Amino acid sequence: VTRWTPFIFGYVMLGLQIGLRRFLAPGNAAPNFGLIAVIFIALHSRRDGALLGGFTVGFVQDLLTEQSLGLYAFSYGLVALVVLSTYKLLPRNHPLSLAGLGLAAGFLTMVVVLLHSFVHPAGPAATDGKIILPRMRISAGAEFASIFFTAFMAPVVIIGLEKGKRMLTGIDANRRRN
Amino acid sequence: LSADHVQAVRWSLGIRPWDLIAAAAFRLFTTATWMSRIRFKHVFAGLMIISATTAFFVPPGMVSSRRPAVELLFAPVSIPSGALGKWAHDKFAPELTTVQQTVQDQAREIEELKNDLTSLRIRMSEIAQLEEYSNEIGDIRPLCTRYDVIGSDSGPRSTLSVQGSRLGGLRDGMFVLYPGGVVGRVQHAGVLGVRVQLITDLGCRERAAFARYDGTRFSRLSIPEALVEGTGKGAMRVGGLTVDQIKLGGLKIGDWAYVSEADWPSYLRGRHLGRVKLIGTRPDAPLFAQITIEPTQNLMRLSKVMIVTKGQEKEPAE
Repeated sequence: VTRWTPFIFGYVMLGLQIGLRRFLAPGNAAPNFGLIAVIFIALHSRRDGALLGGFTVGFVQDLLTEQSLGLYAFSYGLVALVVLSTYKLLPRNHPLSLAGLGLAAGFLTMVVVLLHSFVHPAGPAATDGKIILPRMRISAGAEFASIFFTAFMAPVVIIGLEKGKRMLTGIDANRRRN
Repeated sequence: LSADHVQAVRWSLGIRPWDLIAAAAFRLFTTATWMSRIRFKHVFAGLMIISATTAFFVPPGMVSSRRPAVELLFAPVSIPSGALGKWAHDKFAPELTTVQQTVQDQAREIEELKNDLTSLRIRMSEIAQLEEYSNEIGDIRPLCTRYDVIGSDSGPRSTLSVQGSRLGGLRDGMFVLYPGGVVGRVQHAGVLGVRVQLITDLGCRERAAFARYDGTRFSRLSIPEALVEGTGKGAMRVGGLTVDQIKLGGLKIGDWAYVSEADWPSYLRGRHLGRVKLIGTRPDAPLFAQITIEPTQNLMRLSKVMIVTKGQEKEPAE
């Protein structure tokens, strides 16, 4: 059960992401449940499992969006690496440290998404008669707001799961790391 | 070092580059334990390189058409969570009171009728010129199939996932409507899910014209047709019209934008895209107007949509 638990958790969080996003998005700035799943998996799995889990959640999220394939897989792989390398520096399961991780992970994802939007704009430049319409890129403002929303939600979700993890998930928080 | 020096050293050692490569390859593939040299970190690095290459260096169009849509796999979670989210949204952050809701329902009905009327008037004027297509006037609803919305995009884009499948006859490019006008087009129709790109999504561009209702009197505005582009924030904008054209045409806030795309079926022309919400000037080109258009409903929160599944064969050959 423990081996598959991160994947089940990732499945549930991605289901929530596509189900709830449109109702939790003031100004198109929705929390990223997929990212919270990656942080949770990275905090509660062995190193290899954490990296693979993060990458897999990102890859599946790529299949659920119009963004380019590989974008979230790459981002969440980086996020898993960052969480693995920084979690020891922070107080474990403290809301502020989880919010900080959410903020850092969201910022990293935002940089990758905006960089991708710069390379491959969602709407390329077009001409309307003789008038050139500029490229259309992802809004940095909405991405920023999304980061803060995610950072706010991360402690709520992760601590909520921590409280009932033995009963609900079977993940042993003390079993960690190579 | 000159080339002669390098050559001299090479001959003195008696080793050539391809000898080294051949020796390395021989050692790698003939050693019984070569698989054990590959660690997880190598696999992970390979996956990261492949994903970064696909995201940044491969043109999005090459991959997106081959990507499976898997939204239906997540329906057991997304449908109840969406219903819960809708209930909570309506309960704790209602956009309207009950009285306002009633008024809005009636207003919506009027808008729906106006939408039909605009489309019928536009089509009638076209058919007056082409009498052979006069049998095309009729209700659009028999051509549509209703689908439930099961979720939205997992990233920053404006798309909806509908509870349908390619096996049910849905195809890429099909038109999607709601009673107030146009929703968008089917972007990915897969076996395990169907994704609809909204007209408000970034990169969605359609040609539109403008009209006005004074009471029940319908009038087309003498403004040139223009490209309407989605902003990704629940609205659309027009940036291809000059301020003078807007003034001459008399465009006002509250006027309607409707589809005039030439490659859309004739029975969809005249469907509403939305209402003019704001008229300003483009920050990067002050001689040009920036018109913001909003659909009459938040398209991301639609619970059902109608997909035009029949009648596309009725499109007359040009």
